[in-house]
Amino acid sequence: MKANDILTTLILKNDPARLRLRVTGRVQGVGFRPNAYRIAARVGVGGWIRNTRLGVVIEIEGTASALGEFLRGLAEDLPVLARIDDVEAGEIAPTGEREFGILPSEEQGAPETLFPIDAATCADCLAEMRDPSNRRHRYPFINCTNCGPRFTIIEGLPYDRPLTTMHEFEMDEFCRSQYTNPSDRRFHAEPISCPGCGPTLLLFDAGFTEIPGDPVAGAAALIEKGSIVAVKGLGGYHLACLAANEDAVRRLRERKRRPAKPFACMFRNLEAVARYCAVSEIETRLLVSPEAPIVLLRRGAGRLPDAVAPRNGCIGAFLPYTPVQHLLMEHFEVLIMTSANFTDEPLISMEEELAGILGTIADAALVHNRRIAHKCDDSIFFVPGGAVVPVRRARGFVPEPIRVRVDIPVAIAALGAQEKSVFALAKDASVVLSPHLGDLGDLRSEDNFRRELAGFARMLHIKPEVVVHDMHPDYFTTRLARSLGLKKRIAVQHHHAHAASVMAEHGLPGPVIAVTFDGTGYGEDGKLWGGEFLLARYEDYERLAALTYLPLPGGEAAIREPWRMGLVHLWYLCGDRVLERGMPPPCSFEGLPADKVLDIAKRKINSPLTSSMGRLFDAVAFMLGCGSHVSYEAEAAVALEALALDAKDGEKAYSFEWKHGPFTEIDPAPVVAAIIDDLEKKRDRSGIAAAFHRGVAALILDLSTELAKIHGCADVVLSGGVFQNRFLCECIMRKAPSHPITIYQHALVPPNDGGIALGQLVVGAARIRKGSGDSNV
Amino acid sequence: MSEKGSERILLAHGGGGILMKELVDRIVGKLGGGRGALQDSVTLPVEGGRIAFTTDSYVVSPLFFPGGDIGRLAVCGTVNDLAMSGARPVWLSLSFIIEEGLPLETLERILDSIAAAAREARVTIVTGDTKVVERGKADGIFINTSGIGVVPPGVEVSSALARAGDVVLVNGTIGDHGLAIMSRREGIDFGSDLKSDTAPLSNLTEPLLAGVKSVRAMRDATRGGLAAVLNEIATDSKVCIRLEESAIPISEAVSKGCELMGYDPLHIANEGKFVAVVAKEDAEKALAIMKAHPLGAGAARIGEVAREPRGLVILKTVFGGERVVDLPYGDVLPRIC
Repeated sequence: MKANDILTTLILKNDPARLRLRVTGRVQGVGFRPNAYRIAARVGVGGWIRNTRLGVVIEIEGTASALGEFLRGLAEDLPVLARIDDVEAGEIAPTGEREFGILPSEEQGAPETLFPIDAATCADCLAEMRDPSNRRHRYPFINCTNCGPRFTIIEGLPYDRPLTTMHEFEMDEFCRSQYTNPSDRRFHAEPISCPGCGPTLLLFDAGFTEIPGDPVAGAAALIEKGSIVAVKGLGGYHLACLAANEDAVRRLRERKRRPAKPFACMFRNLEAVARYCAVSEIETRLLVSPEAPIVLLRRGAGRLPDAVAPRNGCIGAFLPYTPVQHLLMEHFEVLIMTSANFTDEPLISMEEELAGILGTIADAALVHNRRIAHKCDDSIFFVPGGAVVPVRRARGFVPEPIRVRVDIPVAIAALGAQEKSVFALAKDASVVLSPHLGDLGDLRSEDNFRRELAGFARMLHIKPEVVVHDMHPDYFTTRLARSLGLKKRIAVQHHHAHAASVMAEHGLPGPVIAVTFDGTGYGEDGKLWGGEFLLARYEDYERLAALTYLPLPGGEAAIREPWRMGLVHLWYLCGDRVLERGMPPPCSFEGLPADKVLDIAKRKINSPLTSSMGRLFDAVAFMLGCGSHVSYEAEAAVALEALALDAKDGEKAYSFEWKHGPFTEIDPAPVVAAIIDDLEKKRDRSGIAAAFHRGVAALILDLSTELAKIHGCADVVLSGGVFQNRFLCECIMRKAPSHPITIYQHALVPPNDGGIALGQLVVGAARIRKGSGDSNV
Repeated sequence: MSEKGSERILLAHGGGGILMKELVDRIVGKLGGGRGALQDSVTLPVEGGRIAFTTDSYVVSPLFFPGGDIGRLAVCGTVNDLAMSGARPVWLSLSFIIEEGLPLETLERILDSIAAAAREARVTIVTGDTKVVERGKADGIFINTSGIGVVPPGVEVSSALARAGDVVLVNGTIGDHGLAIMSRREGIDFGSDLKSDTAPLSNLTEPLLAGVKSVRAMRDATRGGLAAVLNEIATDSKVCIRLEESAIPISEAVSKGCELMGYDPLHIANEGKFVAVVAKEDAEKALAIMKAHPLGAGAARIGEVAREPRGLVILKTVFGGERVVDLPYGDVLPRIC
């Protein structure tokens, strides 16, 4: 039954009445309960909401019209990631309950699910903030039960003011009267405050000296002049500067040592976004949602300097989500708002850390004294062909548990991979994921990872008995897993975890054909996988097909220098005399030590073998003149995608070749040959880039279809960083309907390594259940 | 990960990474050996004082390389292990396993080199053995040497003695030996005259120990490079070692070669470089003694010892990042995506 239809089919015996609802669909892990809570508060119904094994159960009590409004709200103001499949409803005896609460899951041993989630400033609070007669007129910390900081200020559970960093502020009479009044919209708004009792906003100069005057106006004036200002947000500091001022953007790039990785842009409102970006209806819903993530949008008519996102077809856009940001954005149409840190170091959230960037990156800082308890980056999404796919799951989504179909027999911790680190903790069938914790390898990131792991386990009352980790022997998380000394330790292959993460998100029973395309992941044979087709079940998998193994000359050096894989692919195509054969422009090895790197590859010096599709994208990007070196992960592939996005519509697709056998090897040489041939014929580079993408899409669809037929399944899951490529995803989805398979993309966790922990966890759980998890203790 | 019976020794078991450490632990475990058995060199009490005792085998291809050869390596390697325990090397044994077909002239060149290195290190070769094996059973020639040295009274040097506040010194540029060997073996030219640094370090450690009382730990950075020995000191002393990337001496040729091959210079082997941990107040004096000697002309202060986080080596990068310098498990494999 649809939520809207309930009241027309259900004849209420009482008024006020009490209803019991059971909602199924994708309603867990997507902000469904906080959303229901907000609706209940808005329409004034009492009751509760709770996650259960059988879906979300809600009881609501109120007047018939309030109940109707609640049900309409539930159906219409659905969180953008949520999907209601069915609602069962029945009337039960009223209890007189007037407040609405989120209850912990009632299942034995389930994680404490009262962990609330940060939400963007709501319309009611914004209206008050803009009302000169309101006590909180222009108050930079306004919030209510519908919005404001939550997870980022929590130091313990249950969620109650004394266990948040707001305990440092004593409520005044005004706030206390609202906080204790059940009919007030700030009834039990834990972070409630007002100018009389709340935190203070201050502006500091580069020497940490306070700049007098209105801090927001002062910061705006500095930014207007081209300065870079650190601005404290919910989960950490941003660095703000004028997006339209190319000098300021370049200065920020220099100071942050971030030559090319795109910067996110905060726009004043939707109209401003639409001036610079193409926005679809679903993208609009994401932007204005309480989660207020960054959404990667196609560029529109308005131009921003190239330095904002060099050689990138998209702009990362988001809207203000804190009162401070709203006040600041009154002065600007668009600002760069990028996380405050040096490249590869963790996000800065504490004032002690601020000292490290003030004067070196930032010229000033807009600071307040409400402490951040958990670092939490902005979440990022993109919408390829109508599907909403996360790129980073953090603020607004963490730590809402994700419900999985796999039984979780014991408390498990899954530690993820090395980059885009995220861990998962679970007991029963609810999985709680940490926010994106950044790239490990830097001591401070590793310390933060350890601290958050311990903190989550403590708050959720989960004492893991089993730890699951990647097979890569040198990941920090692998070493951490070894050092935890738990009863059981399970190593899961990187791409198996990728596959299982999509299966878990969609509740697929398996087996599925999994296409796992990424940069590198440690393979069962010690080689570097990344272009695989697997037959995946939760507990195990078979490697059905992969790209031909080729050397990665110089290991990580070849990842930082895409020209090396360009050389290797051409060597594979042309043989040892590759360098004597001239390559068509823009493919050129001039000024590069190609002879030496070829020697390194031939002599197998530090040249692990790889089947990586990400590296093939690197190679092709180099051949098409997208650069020989990269400064951030996937930079070459992003530039190649931007080229393809510029292409005129067409159907041309290059063809990979494969021959079925016990193992199917996919030969990339025909594709590389066709690219060189087209370059020699001076064909348009954008067209070549597009034909390459279409070729990869055809490989995915055609080979998946063949493998699905052979193995008697129809579900195909796509995972790995390559599937953050919008053009590729759109090519796949456009052609998919003519294939007898069902394609599943990521919906709750990212295709990149940020989704690995979820996959590891469900594989670990399935192995334990099967009794095959006794590996390597 | 795999069943016991199917386990095999991998080349990576000898690579100086964690895999090798596990293998050594396994060997020591089987022998019921104590802690001392893990050390490259052991100090033993004898009547009237202490001696240091060590043994090492040498397999290298090519046999001759710029800056040295297997003979010089076989003397210096063992002498250096003794020197690192604070001893004055005195006697050496010398054993050969020679492959059928090795030109006698080659053997003679190696012997000349051994004699010259022994003179340089002021040690006497007092016993030996020679075996010949069939063609294909050895790579030209393998050499084993054992050594005995005398530890002067009052000298207490051990990788377990570093303390917070101490200073870490190195006696010159790192990575030269490993890169020179690789360059010669693979025929890849790094555009510069790379030379192995093979040298008897006792000539430098003796004046250092005589002049500076607070030398706590010394380790020669052979297989596994600077990373391996610093991790050993950090683990054994339960301290943190903080390095300054910009202070670590590396020649341009080594730096370029490492960049080309994707190696971390901190993991590259040396045969004439060691780290010394000394008390902060003696750091300048120790550095001056090192610099005054040809083997320490390029010496530098590269970091210091902190209390926490224990057992870790942390590199402050030129960009201000704090990278954890760990040992690879086996072969170095990319961790980035």
